[in-house]
Amino acid sequence: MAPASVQEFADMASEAFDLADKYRNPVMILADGMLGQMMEPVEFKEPLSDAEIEAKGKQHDSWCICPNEDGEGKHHHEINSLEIDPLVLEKHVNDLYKKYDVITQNEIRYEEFNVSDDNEILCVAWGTASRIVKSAINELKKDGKSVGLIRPINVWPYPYEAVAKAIGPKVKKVYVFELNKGQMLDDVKIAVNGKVPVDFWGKVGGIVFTPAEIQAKLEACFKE
Amino acid sequence: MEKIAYRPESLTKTPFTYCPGCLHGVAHRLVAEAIEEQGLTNKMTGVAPVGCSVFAYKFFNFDMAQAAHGRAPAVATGIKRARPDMHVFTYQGDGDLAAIGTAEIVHAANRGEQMSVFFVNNAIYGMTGGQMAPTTLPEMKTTTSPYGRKTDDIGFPIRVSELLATLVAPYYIERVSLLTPADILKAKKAVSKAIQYNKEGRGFTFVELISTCPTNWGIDPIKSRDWAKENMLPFFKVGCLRDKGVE
Ligand SMILES: Cc1ncc(C[n+]2csc(CCOP(=O)(O)OP(=O)(O)O)c2C)c(N)n1
Ligand code: SF4
Ligand SMILES: [Mg+2]
Repeated sequence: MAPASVQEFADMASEAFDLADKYRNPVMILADGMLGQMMEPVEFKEPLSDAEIEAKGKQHDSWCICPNEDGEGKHHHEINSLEIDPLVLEKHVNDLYKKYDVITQNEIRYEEFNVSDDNEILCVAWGTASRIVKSAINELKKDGKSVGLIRPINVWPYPYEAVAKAIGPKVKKVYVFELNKGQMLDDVKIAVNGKVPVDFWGKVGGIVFTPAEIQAKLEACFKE
Repeated sequence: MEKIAYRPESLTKTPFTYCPGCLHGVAHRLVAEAIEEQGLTNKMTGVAPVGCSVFAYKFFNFDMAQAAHGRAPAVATGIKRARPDMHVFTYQGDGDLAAIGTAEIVHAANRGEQMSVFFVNNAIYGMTGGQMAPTTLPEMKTTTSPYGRKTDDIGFPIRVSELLATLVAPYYIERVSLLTPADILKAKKAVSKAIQYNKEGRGFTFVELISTCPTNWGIDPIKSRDWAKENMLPFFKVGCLRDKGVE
């Protein structure tokens, strides 16, 4: 999960626990340096009641570590990822991949910003970078230049289809902006699949690009 | 007819996978008996380590977890906090607990987590083929110290029980030996005390059990015990280092 504001960051923290609980899978929040150091007002969701938490916990009684009983109800649950028998391990790995498929079906999340058939450039950016790109897009709009943005909210599973679909008839380039050396770039290239050129600009070391810098990069593309 | 020897109900029927003469089986039995005697079989859970005793999760007859190498005390912390109605122990080797898991054991002990730790010290990494552990004795030969452990280079063995006894929180810390039948009876008392304190919710309890690894020491099982008596016990002295129940 890749938040772009402190509010989203706070919301994701509790969502991450729910998703981890639902899929029994680790969930990571990929913040960036800027978000980690930023202060913005946040509202926290109402916490669950003790009864609700208890009920959620009970859903897992068939496999989790819980008190035992004699006779019929006796159980021996093993929480463990070690499988020594290759045939059992193969099945286990295949089952995990089935789970990843389900997660991929259910959990793709992204935001579209100013995406339309008029777009001449499509941007892809996540986290803090996406906010700066939005400001640049708004500035360009004033000059009648149409640029769209896809912001992945979850970077896995990745919104490949959304990126591919957002490449409108007039789009001549997809531009990726990240505050790193291009961690998402390959995903975008997979999504674009050679349809149009993909360009990248990233800054590192905690240096953040300004809206004007992004605007200049995009304006240069209009002149190409 | 009176039953005088039986397999504790808190052990499953799965046969142990240990080498002949290995003392892990004895240690399992002591822990299982103590749990049963305290009437905790249905409220107990354990965390297995990485090491020869990794399959401990198959051997104890209640719900078990198996942790990443050295992380058993962290997993046990999570279980106990999520399920305060249950009791939890970890069972760990010296490679697991005193090398890769040093941080976990120190901090779990320092927080006084409600758990019992059974630390089986055989001065070597058994499972992976007899590599040097932090507990390997000076001059002791292992596959990764073929000329003997040189203390100039590698330092001296870590006495984990003494190290933990410098902390304020632990409730009970004792080192015992499994090397003779008499030692085993004494070890049983210490294991039982740890489980009893665990039942009473007194805090962090820790029993180090001096053991052998005939296979990787390259010494037959009986002579291994003699070797350990001569070489391990002078460095790893048996005895109680902390018992807040009697202090
Ligand atoms: C993260 C990780 N590092 C290394 C290993 C390899 N490994 C398996 S068992 C073991 C040492 C076990 O020694 P010990 O805890 O003393 O148990 P013993 O087999 O002697 O009872 C090691 C290093 C591993 N499984 N996982
Ligand atoms: S390798 Fe050593 S510790 Fe492991 S089962 Fe064999 S004798 Fe026991
Ligand atoms: Mg060992």
